[in-house]
Amino acid sequence: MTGVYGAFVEPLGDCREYLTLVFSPLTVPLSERWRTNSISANFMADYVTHLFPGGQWPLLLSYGLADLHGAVNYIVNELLENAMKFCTPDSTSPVTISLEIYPEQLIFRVENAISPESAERLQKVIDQLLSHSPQELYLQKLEANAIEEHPSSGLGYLTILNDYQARLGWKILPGIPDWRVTTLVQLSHPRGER
Amino acid sequence: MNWWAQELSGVGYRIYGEPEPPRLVFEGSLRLNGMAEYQPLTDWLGQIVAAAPPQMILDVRSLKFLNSSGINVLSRFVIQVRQKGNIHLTVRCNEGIPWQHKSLVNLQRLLPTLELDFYHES
Amino acid sequence: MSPEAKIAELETRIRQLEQEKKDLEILLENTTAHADAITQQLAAKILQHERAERDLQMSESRLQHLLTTIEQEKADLELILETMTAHADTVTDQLQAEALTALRQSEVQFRTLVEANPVALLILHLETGQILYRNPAAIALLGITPDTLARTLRGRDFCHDPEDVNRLKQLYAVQGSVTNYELLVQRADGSTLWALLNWQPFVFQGQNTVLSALWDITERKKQEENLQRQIEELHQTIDQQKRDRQVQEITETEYFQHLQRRVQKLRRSSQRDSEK
Repeated sequence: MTGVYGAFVEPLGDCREYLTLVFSPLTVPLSERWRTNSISANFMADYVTHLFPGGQWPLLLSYGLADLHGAVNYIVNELLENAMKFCTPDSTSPVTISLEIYPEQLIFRVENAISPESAERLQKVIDQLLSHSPQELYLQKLEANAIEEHPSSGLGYLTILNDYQARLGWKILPGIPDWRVTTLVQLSHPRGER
Repeated sequence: MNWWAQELSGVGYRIYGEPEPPRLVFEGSLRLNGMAEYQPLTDWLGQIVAAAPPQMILDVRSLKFLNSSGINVLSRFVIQVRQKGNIHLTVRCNEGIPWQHKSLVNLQRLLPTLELDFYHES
Repeated sequence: MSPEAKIAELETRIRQLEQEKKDLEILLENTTAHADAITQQLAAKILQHERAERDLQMSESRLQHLLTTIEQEKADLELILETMTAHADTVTDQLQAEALTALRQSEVQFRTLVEANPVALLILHLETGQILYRNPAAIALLGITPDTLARTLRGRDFCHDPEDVNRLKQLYAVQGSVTNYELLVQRADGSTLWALLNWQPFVFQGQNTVLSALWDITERKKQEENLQRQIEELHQTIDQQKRDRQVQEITETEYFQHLQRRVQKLRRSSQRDSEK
C-alpha cells in the first residue's frame, strides 16, 4: 500500500544543517504562489552556496559556485512547481520543502498532499522513470510532447535526472481525504563530463 | 506582419525579435506556469517555422533561468525545425550561465545540425 | 580270608554298586528331566520373549506410524495456516485495495466499505496511539461498549502485555510497517483473545497515523496447542515403551545367568554323587 520508490531515504538522523520552508494554503492559495517560487529557489541557492565560510564545502568545491547555485535554483524551482501543480486545490495541508546539507551531498525533500487520482498517475510516471534510461526517456518525452496538442510537461523529473545527474526517490502514503507524496532529490559530486 | 516584429514580456523576462540576422533574443528568467502560459511563445515559434528563414538564431545569452516547461517549448520548436528541414538553426549561449551547458546539449541530440555557440559573457 | 567270604564281600559290593548305579540313573533321569524341564522352560521363555518382542515391535511400528500420521497432520495444518495467513494477506491487500479504490470515489464510499468490513480496522494517531477511528468490527472484537466509547481510547489500552507495545513501536520504526504480528488482545471487559495484527502508515486528515487491522485467531491457537500436546504425549508413550523393553532385556539376561548357575550346581552335585 505504502509505496517507496527509487532512491528514497528517510531523514538521516545526523543532519545538523538544514533549511525548511513551509507554505500553507491557508495563507495564500497555492495556485497563486507561482510568482514566489523564484524567490524561494533563489533564496535557497544563495543560502546554501554562502553558508560555509571561505567556501570550504566539498560539494561547493567540486561544482564551483555558479554551477551549484544554478543546480539548487533549478531543482528547488522544479520541485515547488510540481508540488503546487499536483497538490489538491482545496487541500489544507501545507507544502514543505527542506534542504538537508551534508559535506558530500544535498538532499532536497518536498512533501505535499495529492488526490488519489494524482497518486495513481504519479505512480505510472515513476514506474516509467525507473525502468528506462533517463536520457532515452528524456528524448522520447520531448519528441512525444512535440506531437501532442496539450502535452503534460512531465519533464521536470527527467531534467533533474538527466541534466543534473541527481537521484530521485518518492514515498507515497495513502490517506483520507488526501494522500501524501514526499519527493526526494539527492545531489552529489558531479560524475565526470557528460 | 513579419515574425520578428513582436515582443513578449512579463515579470522578470523579455523576448524580442530582430531581422538582421534573423533572431529571437531572450532576456531575464523564464519560469512560466506550464504550456498554457507559454502559449504565446509557442505560437510565435510556430510562425517562425512557417516563415522558414534559411538561417535562424536563438539568442539566450541573457536568459538566466529556464524552467522545464520552457525547455519543452524550445525542444518542440527544434523538432519542428528538424521536420521541416529548411532552417539552419543556431543557439547563442552563455558559458557563464550553468543551466545552458547542461540542458541545451539535448537540443543538439534532437537536431544534429544544430549549432551551439558558447560565448564568454559577463 | 576264605574264598566263600571273598565271594560274599564281592556280592555285597556288586549289590552296592548296582544300587548306586540305580541311584545314579534315577539322579541322571531327574537331572535330565529337570534339565529338560529347564530347557523347556527356557524354550517357552524364549518363545514368550520373542512374541513379546514382536508385539513390542508391532506396537512400536504402530506408534511410529501414528506419530508419522500426526506429524503429517501437523504439517498439513501448518500449511493450512500458511495459506490462511497468505490468504489473510491477500484478503488484507484486497480489502485495502478495495478500500483505496473506494477512496478514489468518495470519502462516503470509503466509510461504507470500512464500516461494513468484517475485519477490525482502526486508525491510530502515530505519536499518542489515540484511536481516531474504529469500525464496527473493531468495536465488537475489542468489546467496546457505549460507556468505554465515552473515554479517550488508545491502542495500548488493548494490549495485554505492555512489552508488545514496545516491540510493535520498534518494529514499526525499523520496518515502516508491521505484518502478521501475533498479539494477545485485552478486551474492554478484561478478557483476552489472540489476534493477528497488521500496521500500515496512513494519512488521516493531514496527520501521520497508522491503519491497524486485526484478525481473531483464537481457534487457530487452540488447534496449535492441541497438536503440540498430542505430539508431546506421543513422544512420551514411545519413550515409555522403550524403557520397558530395556528393563525387560536386563531381566532376561539376569534370568539366563540364574539358570546357568542352577545347571552348574546340578552338574556339580551329580558329579559328587557319582564319585562316592
